[in-house]
This record gives sequence, structure tokens and C-alpha cells, in this order.
Amino acid sequence: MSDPTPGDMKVTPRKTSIWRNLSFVWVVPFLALAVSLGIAWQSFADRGALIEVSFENASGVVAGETTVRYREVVVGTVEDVRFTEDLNRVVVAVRVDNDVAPYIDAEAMFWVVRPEVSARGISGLSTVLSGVYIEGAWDNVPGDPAQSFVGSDTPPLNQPGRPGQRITLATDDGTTISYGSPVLFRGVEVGRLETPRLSADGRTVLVDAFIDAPHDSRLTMATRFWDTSGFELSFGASGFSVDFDSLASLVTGGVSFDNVYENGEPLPPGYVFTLYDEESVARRNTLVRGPSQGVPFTIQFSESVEGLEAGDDVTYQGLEVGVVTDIRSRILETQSGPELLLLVGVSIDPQRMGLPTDAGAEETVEFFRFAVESGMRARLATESLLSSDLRVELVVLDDAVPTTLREVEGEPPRLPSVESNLSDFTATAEGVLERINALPIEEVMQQAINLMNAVEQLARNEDLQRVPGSTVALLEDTRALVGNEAIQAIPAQIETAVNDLTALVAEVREGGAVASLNSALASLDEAMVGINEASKTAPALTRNLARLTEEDIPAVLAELQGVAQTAQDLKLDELVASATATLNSVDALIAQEAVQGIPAAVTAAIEDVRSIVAEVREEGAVEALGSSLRNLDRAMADISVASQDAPALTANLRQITETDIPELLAEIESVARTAKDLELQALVDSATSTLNRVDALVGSEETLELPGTLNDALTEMRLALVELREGGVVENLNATLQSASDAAGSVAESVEDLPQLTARLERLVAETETVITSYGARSDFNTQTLSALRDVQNAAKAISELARAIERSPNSLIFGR
Amino acid sequence: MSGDGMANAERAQPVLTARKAGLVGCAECGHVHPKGTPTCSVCGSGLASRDSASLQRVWAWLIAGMVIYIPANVYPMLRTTTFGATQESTIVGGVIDLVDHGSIGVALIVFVASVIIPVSKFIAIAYLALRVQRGKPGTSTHFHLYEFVEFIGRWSMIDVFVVAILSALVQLNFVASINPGIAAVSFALSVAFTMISANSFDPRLIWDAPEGNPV
Repeated sequence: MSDPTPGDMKVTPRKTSIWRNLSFVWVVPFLALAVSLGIAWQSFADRGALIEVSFENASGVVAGETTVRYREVVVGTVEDVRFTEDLNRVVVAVRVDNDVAPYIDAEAMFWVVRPEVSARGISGLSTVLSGVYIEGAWDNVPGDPAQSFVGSDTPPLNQPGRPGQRITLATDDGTTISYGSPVLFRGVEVGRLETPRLSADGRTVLVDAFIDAPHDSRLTMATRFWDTSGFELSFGASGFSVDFDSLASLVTGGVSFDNVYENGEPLPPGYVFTLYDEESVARRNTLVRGPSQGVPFTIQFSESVEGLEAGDDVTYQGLEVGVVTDIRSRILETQSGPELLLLVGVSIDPQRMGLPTDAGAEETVEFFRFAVESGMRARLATESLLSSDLRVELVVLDDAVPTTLREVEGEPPRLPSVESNLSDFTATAEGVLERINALPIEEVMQQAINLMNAVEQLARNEDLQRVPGSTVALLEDTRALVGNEAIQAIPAQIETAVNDLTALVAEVREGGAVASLNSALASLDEAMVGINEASKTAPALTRNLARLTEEDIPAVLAELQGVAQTAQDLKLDELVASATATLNSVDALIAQEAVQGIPAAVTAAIEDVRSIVAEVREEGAVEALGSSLRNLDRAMADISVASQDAPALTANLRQITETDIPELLAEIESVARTAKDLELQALVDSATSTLNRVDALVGSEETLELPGTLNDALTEMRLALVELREGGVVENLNATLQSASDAAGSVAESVEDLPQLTARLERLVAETETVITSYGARSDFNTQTLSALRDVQNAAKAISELARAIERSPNSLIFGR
Repeated sequence: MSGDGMANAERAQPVLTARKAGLVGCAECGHVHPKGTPTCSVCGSGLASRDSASLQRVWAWLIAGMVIYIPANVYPMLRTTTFGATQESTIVGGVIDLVDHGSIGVALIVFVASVIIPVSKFIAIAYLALRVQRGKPGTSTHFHLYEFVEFIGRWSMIDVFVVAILSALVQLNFVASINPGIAAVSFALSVAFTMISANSFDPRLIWDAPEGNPV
């Protein structure tokens, strides 16, 4: 191979135009660049929206690994896990896919899915190996995307996009319910409970529940919830039974509900259901609100509340309107020292009192304020006749002492209470028991035993063996006698007699004596009114009398004095002496004791008369008295007028005396002289003798006996009056009633004895039957005896029925009903 | 072909190239033809004294390879799902994980094959291309460098092969499954582009001096 010689190839410089020589291969790097940029842009564009979810803790959440799922489909990844600024919570930054980002609005919820093994089953098993993931839930309507969310550690019950209704239950005890407990409707799970929480005031435990559609449409005001937690043991005649709803409710508790009546009212917003302890309580309790939602009141009782417990009913005329919530005591400082009060707290359901559904405490208290002023009071009452359990009863009393609802700031209003009539019930029951206890049962038994012994001895007697022959005849007679209609009719007659007696008593009662007495008293009252009116005219009469006395009488007296002086000259000494003697006789008469007894008799008579004023009402004596007083008044007025004429009269009289009398005297003197001549002495003697005879008459024993007779007459009259008064209708009525009462008592006593008599008769019959049986089952004697005894038994039954009839209604003896 | 020539050329300065000798060598079989011969009489391939577009192709492929190398490192190479937990790892992340697990040897292999070799290739090719472009005459060291780059380029595919084998073998559904990520494709493309770039380089340009500066 020869050495190559350098060629003369001309090397020309390369064209400067870079584009002409540009190789096609340059497409490749630009393509690569474009593809890379495209990938970068795509991954940037597809990285999705960043949201932040805060959790209590981030247990199991790992940045870059933990996924976010929606309906178990991965829609995002946790990018970052950090704390909030105050380190209280963990913030998980999640990159979610763009296609679901628009749906994640403020309604969205996130929770961590962890493996969970509970009584309701195993969930989240896939996360055992793969780690936890975050489950999200949101509705299918795009909304305004939100950035921050608060996640929970447990799945929320009401997830967005899940139809149903969220309700709230209230209960007193939250120990038996827990998160996730099932809500059952006729044993089918239709919802779940959330975590129980305490109410703001701490009185109740509230728990939210979510009822899935379509079961939530069953919720109405008629819905009652009850606790089905645990199991129920019952041991009875049917054996031992264990009852529980489901394994889940056994372990975690459960709640069932049902409607206690159809077509319940729809639920108002914010309605809180009451969770009852037992189904029977829930079904029985028609209170719309439970004790925790009722309006609290307190009642102060001054008597023992033994037998009253929390949970007892509060009734209004038998309708349950509330429950007793608590019973407590309190020291009240009074002026007379501390006083112990018994306060019973009650919870009243406004709706049971007829108030509107949305009535709150204000309306309820207002209603009770009015009701208390109208007479509503609380009192204790027994649940039943035999038990000592009490309940609180709201009653409206017409005669209640007026009071008001006592309202103190910071505590429930206090309803006024009244004494109950519990003690009467107890006393009555005790009386009944004591009476039963006092029945002479033992004696009766002893007598029965004695009777049986006697009968037995009789039956063993050999003489009795010979008796049947003659006994048959005797029994036939007896049978005829017993079968006699007259004897059968005896009870009817007794009943008729009792009815007659009853009618008699009723007649006496309806006789109207009392009414008469009342009308008499009314008349007396009227009479007193008349007297009063009449006494009003007395002052005028008195005034007339005074005027008469002061003005006219002196003049009259002066004139009369003149007349007297003139008359003094007249010779009347003997006449005077005779008159004196007569007066002496009269004085002696008066001095007699019998005469002195007259005033007392008259006084007594006056008293009697006074006592019968009421009975002489018809005659209008008082009116007559009044009118007579008025007449007297008029008469006195006439006297007054007349007395004004008296001076003239006396002047005339004086003139007559001064001028005419001397003449007259002269004439008289002459006449006297003439008379003296005319055996005046004889005349005087005769007059004197006449007076003496009068004196003798007056002084005679017959005349002396006259006062005694008068006295006797007055005494008799008084006795008659007393008799009239004391023998009045009232006493007769009383006596009659007393007799009737005695008769009723006697009947009652006899009735008391009737059962014993009946029992003894029945025992006797039974024993006798036993004895007779020993004589042969089919013998003639036996048959006869049996039939006779049956008759006796029938008679005894008739008497027994009568006794029972009287016993059932002893009142019929008295009232005839 | 030209092993002896190269050895001689190292020792004899200045080098007499075929071009200066008025000849043209076949790039495939090495047979030397007189200048002007269009095709090789031995193997039939086209003959050219110098490939005038060589540098353009080198740069183009090199840039493409470098561009595509970026996502190969940013995006995950492997998506490993173990018991439902998916873990994505990039190349460097995988190396760090391996170091954390104590597999320093494996980590070293992966690191050399996936990072050092590609980056060295970029640098080496760029260095050679720049040197040719600036008209500096090369030495035998440069040629050895080129040969080394061309030789080592294929070994960069070891990562891609591992990913491919793992993806094919480890498909145990839930327990464990491995899927290639975007970076696997990117890395494979990057290695391929780099190899094409290296192949596009006409080593004869190493010996050329620029015009007006004949050695």
C-alpha cells in the first residue's frame, strides 16, 4: 500500500447559513422538550385542589401514602400532615382530584376509616394491611368549593347525600346508650345513635339519632322511643324467660320506637323526643313531653308525703298531665324559728293541659297563675284504694282560700296545696277491718262444734233408731208446714213491715215541723220589727206627756186644790171613816200571802205569755200593740189639746166653787138639815152597814180564797203554756226520729245476726244431711228428710237473700229506696 | 480496522489522516477507497470523508436526551403497591431508600448506572462536540473517551431493565405489585437519545483541525 499523497481537494468554508444546513434531527430535542413540558404541564394541571382537614389526631395518616376515598374510590392523597398553630389539632392537607373538587363544598364531611371490631360487626378490615384512609362524603350538587374542614374520627351518621332525618332524643340516664347503637323499628334497624352528650343545664342526656329514609316519615308527635338495651329476666308461673332484642343492642344498647296512635301531628322544628326506659312505660305514657321537657313547678305539702315517689303521676281530674320529679325538704327561716318544708317538684306537660304545641314555660306559668286564682290546688291522693301509693292531684276547689302562684326568682313557681282526705280513707278502711276482726267467728265455730257433738250424740243414741218411723210422719208434717205459703210469705211480710216503717219515718220527716218552726221564728222577727217601729213613736208620746205635766197639770192642780179646799168643808168624815175601814179590810186582804203570791204568778204568766208570743203571731198582737201605742199617742195628743182647755174649765169650776158652791152648800145644809130631819142617821147607818157587809164580804173566807184560786188558775195556765211549749212538735219529731233510729239500729243488729243464723242453719243442714246419710242412701226416711231439709234450706236461702238485700243497702231501711 | 493506525497515530505527530491522503475510509468496514468513490466496494455503504451534519445530530440528540432526563428524575420510576399502600419512588429517592435499608452496594450500582453514567455521557459528548466545534485537534485520549462513552452507554439501560423485569414479575395483585412510572420511559428515552447522540458523533472529526490552522 503506497503512502497516500495529500490531495489537492479544495476545502471551502462551510456556508454560514445555519438554516440551510439544519439537520432534520433537530426535531427530536424539540419534540422531547415539548413532551417533557407537556408532561409537566399535565401533571401540574392534574394535581387537583388542595384542601385541609383537621383531625383530633392523625393516627395512621401518612403524608403521601394515605388516600382520600369517596365511595371507596381513591380521589386524593394526603400531601402533608402538620399541626394547627396552637397545636390543638392535626391538619391534613389533601390533594383531591379535579373532577370531584367542585362537589367538595362546605357540606362535605371527612372521617378516618380504621379497622373496627364491635358487636355490630367488623368494618374497615381492608385498612388492617393497607393502613387507614380518609373517607369523604358530599352530596352530588356542585357548590362553592371550601378549603378547610373538620374531620371526625368516626363516621358521621347523617352523611351528605344520604336521605333521612336527624332527630334528638332526651333521657335521664345515658349509661345504656352509646355511639352507633341501632335504632329499631319493629326489630328492623332503621337508624343509628350518635354520641350522647349532656344538655346545657345538665339535667338531661341528649343523643342525636339519624333515621334513614324512608323510615323517617314515620316520625310524628305520636312516636315514642324506648330503650331496648340489655336483656330482661322474668321469673313467673310460666317459667324463666330471658328477653333481649338483638346481640348488638345487648352489648351496645339500642333504641326502639313506635307510634302510640295513628295520624300523629308532624314534628315541629327542634323537637326533642323523650327516651323511655321501658316499652310499656313509653306506650302507656301519652305525655307529649317527658319529665325533662316539661315545665317545672314545686308544691309545698304540710302533710306526710310517704308513699309519693319521683315518677309518680300528676293528674288533673284523672288525666295524667305530669310527673313527680323529686321530693326534697328545705329549712325556711320564719319569725318563729326555722321551719321544715316538704317540697315536691313536678314537671307539667303544657300540651296535656291543653296548651298549644309550641307553648313554653312562660305561657304555662301564665296559665297556672290564672288557674290558681280560679281555685286550682294541688293535693295528695291515693293511687288506689288498697295501696298506699300516692299521686299528686290538681283539683279546682270552689271554696279554696284565695291565693296566688308563688313565684320566686331562680326557682320554679310554687303551686298552693290543700289538705287531702287521705286519713278518712284510712280510718274507714281500718274501721272495716276492725269490724271484720270483731266478728265472733270463734264463738260461732265453737257453737257449731258443740252442735255437731250434740247431733253426733243424738245420732248415736239407740232411741233414735226407733225414731225414723215416727219422724217420717213428723217430717211430712214439717214439710207441709214449711211448704205452707204463709210461712213462705213471712219474709215478704217482714219486708213490707220494714217498708211501712220506712214510709212512716219518711212521712214524719216530710211533716214540715221544722219548716213551721222556722216560719214562727220569722214571724217573731217581724214582730220585733213592729215593736221597734212602735217604739219609735214613744218619744213623741213622752214629749206630749212632759208638756202636759209641766204646763197644764199645775194649773189643774191649783184648781183642784181650790176645789179640794172647798170640798174640805163638806162633812164626809164618816164616809171617810167607812172608806177607811173598807180600805183597811182591803189592806188586810192584800196583806194575805195568797194575794202576795199573785204577782209571782202573774210574772210567770207574763213570761209564759212572752214565750208564746211567737205562737200568737197570726193574731198580730204586736201590730195591735204598735197600733194601740199609736192610738195612745193620739189619745195623749188629744189630752194635750184638751188640757189646754183645762184652765178655762178650772176657772169655771172655781167660779162655780166660789159662787155657786156656798149656795149649793147652803142648799145642801138646808137639805142636810132637812135630811137630818129625814132620818139621815138611819141612812148613814144603813150605808155603814152596807160597808160593813162589804167588809165582811171582803173579809170572808171565800173572798180570801179567791186569790188562791186565781193563783191556781194562773199556775194552770202557766203549766198549760209550758206544756204547750214543751210538748211541741220538735220534741215529738225528735222522739220519732230517735225511735226510728233505734228501730234501724235494732234492724241492723238483727241483720248482723242473720248471716250467723244462716250460716248455722246451713251447717246444721249439712251436718244433718251427713247424719241422715248414715241411715241409708235410698231409704224412704232419707228421701223424706232430704226433701224436708231442702225446704228448710230454701227458706233459709230466702231469709239469707233478704238479709243480703238489707245488708247491701241498709239505707233502704231509712230512705225507702 | 484502525486499531493499529490509531496506535501509530499516537506516536506519530502530526497525524496523516485519510482525508489528507486523498482517500476515504468506509465507516462500516474500514476499507479505504480513493476519494470520490460513492459507495464502499466491500460492504456497500455510502462513503463520505466527513459527515458534515454530524455535530448537528450530536447536539440535537444530546439536548433531547438531557431534556428528557429531567422528568426521568422528577417523576417516579416505580409505583410499588404493597398491601394496598402505594409507594412511588424516583431514581434518587430509590437510591436513598436503599441506603436507608443498608443496601449500599445495590444503591451504588443504581446510582452509578442511573445518575453517574448518563450525566458523564452528557458531559463527555458535550466536551468532545465542543472541542470539535472549536477546531481543536484531538488526541488519542479523546478518542478513548469517545469509545468509552459509546461502550458504557448501553449499561445505563440497567435501570430500565430492572424496572421492566420487576413490573413483569411482581404482579401479585394485592400483596405487592410494581408498575413503571413516567420516569422509566423518560429514562429509557434519555439513554437511547444519548446513545444515538454518541453514535452520531463522527470520531474522525477529532483529528480534524480547522481551516487555516493546518497541523
